[in-house]
Amino acid sequence: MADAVIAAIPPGRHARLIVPRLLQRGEDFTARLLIQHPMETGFRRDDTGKVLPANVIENVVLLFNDELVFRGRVLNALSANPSLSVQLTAQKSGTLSAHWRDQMGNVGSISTEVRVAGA
Amino acid sequence: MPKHAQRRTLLGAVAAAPWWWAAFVGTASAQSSTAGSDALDERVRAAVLVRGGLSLDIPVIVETGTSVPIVLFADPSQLRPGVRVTRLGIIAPKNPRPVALDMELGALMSQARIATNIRLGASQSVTGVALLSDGTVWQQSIAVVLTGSACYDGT
Repeated sequence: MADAVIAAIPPGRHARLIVPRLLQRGEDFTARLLIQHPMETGFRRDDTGKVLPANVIENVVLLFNDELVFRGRVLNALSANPSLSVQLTAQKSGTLSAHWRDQMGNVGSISTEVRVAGA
Repeated sequence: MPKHAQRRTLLGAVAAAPWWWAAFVGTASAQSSTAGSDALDERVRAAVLVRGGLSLDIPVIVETGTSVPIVLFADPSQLRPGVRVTRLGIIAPKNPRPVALDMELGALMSQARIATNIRLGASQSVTGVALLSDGTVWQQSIAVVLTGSACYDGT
């Protein structure tokens, strides 16, 4: 039953965007994006020998208050359940958000609040 | 022109721009439809590839290629004032798709540093690439020995 429920959820729906809980102004911090996604390459076969269709995340974008932090153009070789960590400076509080789309058209997004003390 | 002279010119061209370079730049122009093939040729020809301040942190011996931790870092002290890193990429020449990763960096990032996990299909020399806003290209390669491939998953 649980397996059936899990199988019904499209890939790329579950994600985490991890930032420190509270930051001081000017502090450097790491933002880590984790997406639960098989990143199927199209080169693997299942137990019956059938080729598993390719489905990797084609596009991912990370924004802070709608300003670009990074954009992934090619993510061919990222491992399953990819993780991407980048460095940012805490200037002001705001919203960090990530959006992505895979080859099968599944889209996902996640956002998290960045809290900077007194800003 | 004597035959050896022709060959020398050809070798010179290859040394100036590695084989994967066109593919790497091509991924950019394929998505921004405004850049024509002339612009692409120009960028391939104009590229100056140096070691620069790019460091690539990846284990030299890897048990399985399905998830290999990698950190790309462009040292800011090696940048001239006013110049920033606009793109970071990874080339894995023996992967079925050699352009492994290509990330465009916005101005908000405090350091040109990306940490992630990649897949590798074979033992190979993994190359990191950083494009700077002044057109310079930094590259750094590390040979990685693999005991298990990510492509053939026991089947």
